[in-house]
Amino acid sequence: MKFNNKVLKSCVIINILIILTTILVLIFNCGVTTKKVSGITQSETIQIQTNLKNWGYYSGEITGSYDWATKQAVIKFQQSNGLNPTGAIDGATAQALGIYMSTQANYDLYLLAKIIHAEARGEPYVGKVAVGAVILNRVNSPDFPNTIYGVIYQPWAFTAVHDGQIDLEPDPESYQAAQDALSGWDPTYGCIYYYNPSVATSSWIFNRKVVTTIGNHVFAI
Amino acid sequence: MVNKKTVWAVLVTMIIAIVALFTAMVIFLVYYKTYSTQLENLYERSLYELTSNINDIEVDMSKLIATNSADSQREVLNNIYNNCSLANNNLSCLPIQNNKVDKVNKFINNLGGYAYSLLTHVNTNNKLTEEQLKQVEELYSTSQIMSYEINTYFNSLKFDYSIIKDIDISNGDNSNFMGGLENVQSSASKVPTLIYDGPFSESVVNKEIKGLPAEEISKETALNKIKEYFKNYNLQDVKYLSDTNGKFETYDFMVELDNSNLYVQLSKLGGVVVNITGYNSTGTKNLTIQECETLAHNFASDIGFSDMYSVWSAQTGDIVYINLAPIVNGIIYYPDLVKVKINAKTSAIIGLDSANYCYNHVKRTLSTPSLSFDDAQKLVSPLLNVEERNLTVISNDYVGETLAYEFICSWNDYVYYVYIDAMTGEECNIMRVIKTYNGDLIM
Repeated sequence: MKFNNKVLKSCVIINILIILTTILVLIFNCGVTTKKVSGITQSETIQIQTNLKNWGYYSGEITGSYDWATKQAVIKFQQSNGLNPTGAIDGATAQALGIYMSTQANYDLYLLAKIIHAEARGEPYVGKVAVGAVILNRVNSPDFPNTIYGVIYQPWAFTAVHDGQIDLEPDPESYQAAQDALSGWDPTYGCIYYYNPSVATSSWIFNRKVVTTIGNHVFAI
Repeated sequence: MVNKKTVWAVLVTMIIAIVALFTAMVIFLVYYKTYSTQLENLYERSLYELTSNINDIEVDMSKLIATNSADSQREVLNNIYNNCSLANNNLSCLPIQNNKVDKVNKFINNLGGYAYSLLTHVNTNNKLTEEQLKQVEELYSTSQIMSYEINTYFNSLKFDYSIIKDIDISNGDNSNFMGGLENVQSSASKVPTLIYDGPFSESVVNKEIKGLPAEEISKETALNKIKEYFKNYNLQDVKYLSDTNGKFETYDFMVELDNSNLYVQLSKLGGVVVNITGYNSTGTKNLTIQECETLAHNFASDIGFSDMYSVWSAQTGDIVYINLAPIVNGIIYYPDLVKVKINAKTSAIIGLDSANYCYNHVKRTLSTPSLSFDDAQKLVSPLLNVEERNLTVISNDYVGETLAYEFICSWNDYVYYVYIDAMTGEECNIMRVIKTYNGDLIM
């Protein structure tokens, strides 16, 4: 068998491609990457960072984001206080830090902020409140599931849940919009649908009665 | 020419790479199979449970017709209410677009709400009326058809039927699985309109607007009203945006003040400010809640909500939410709430919601309470320490308004709001203040 350099080079390239494909298959399909949701709200993180800063464990900015520096400060705090140094805010750590962990109502707010951020980031603020209000209007409508969770996670109800964008961390504006919606603000006055007319693909949605347009979204009943 | 060693090295690497790719593919397929089986199992569980819930509803509806004792009726109505909630929950887990099952949802939600209202009726009157039983019979026939259709569908499925193989994962509109449930959906469409006071009832869903003037104003008048409302708030610019034609019909404007941009909605009837929505980043001031309450009171008064007083306020970060209610002759009217939102760092008013006021604000004729403050206080749990008491009008879930004594009480570190019906002495509501990092909640 005679090989020339050209054939050999091709073989090496094929080898590299096969190895890369293997790695990609492993990474994307076999759960090598893990998505971590901290479960700590932004305001709780602000409280944690403030306390840690006051007690000399944390020297960074108060950002409200549970980042690497905050985690290191929590580990330092856990070590000094005889707690398991995991960097996670468990019950004992929360108690030692002097914060109360979220109650049930906070999870409503957290999930609503997540869906608003995923579905309406880039929209004007009132458009974000309106998306939150549509979800709450669905909860109160007989035609839909009866809980915030049921409405948000209903299959094919929201593009951002279907494609996983729901797991992005919400920004402060989305929290604020979620808080407004939960406090009763509804600039759509009872809408249960919204869509972006330039990308909507379901034909039936265009038959709903249009109530108003805010930003890129049309709101309908 | 390449030497033999290199050729062997390349060949071996190639074999290793192919084996590795093959192994990765096998691992991928094992994971794929495991995930898809788990998903299929969850879907199938929901379908089994939904079928079981609908069958149970059918049986309990037939029992309700047959039973003649209040105790049994209570038990059966409780079961129907619970099974309707479970059926709604299980239906929402199935991979079906909502518009293909909305009538099923509507039927089970309305049936659950109706069962709830009948339960309240039985608790007070100890039996159902003839009219109610007639309506139960009509609803039973729908539940019977629905049960028949879902069982027929279920029996038609082959032993190795797979839901996930029968759905188009990329497009929820296109699915054979949904097609199979079409008869269940059509069985739920022939339902008479239910008249009842309970969850999802017509009176709750299509609430009547009582608090707006009758006269419709033009867009130009609305614009002038906005300028008048905001004249003391450093108004820079007003821009008309659009109309909103929902439960309230409004003209929508963007109002630019020196420290915030507000989306303001004015009702076409009478030009009442129904909604203001705004967002405002942090500033350097640090207003107290009391200062925010004064700002809210003055602002509400400037835009036409006079005689409104702060009855509840809660701070979330820099934002203070203040609930204002009319207080007339010492009576607090909770159904007419106007909510105001203020940024304590900038002192900017960045929100107002008067939907409750616009729905409910009318002049009421109230009866004189049958009970005195002291008589009512005796009915509050002796464990609670009463710290404040008021006479109020409250909105009582589904049965309209009630004249009630409000007792703000403490027990340990908890704060409770207890409401005693001023006519009957019934404890009609109890709420607890829950402190969270996102502000105080009342539940």
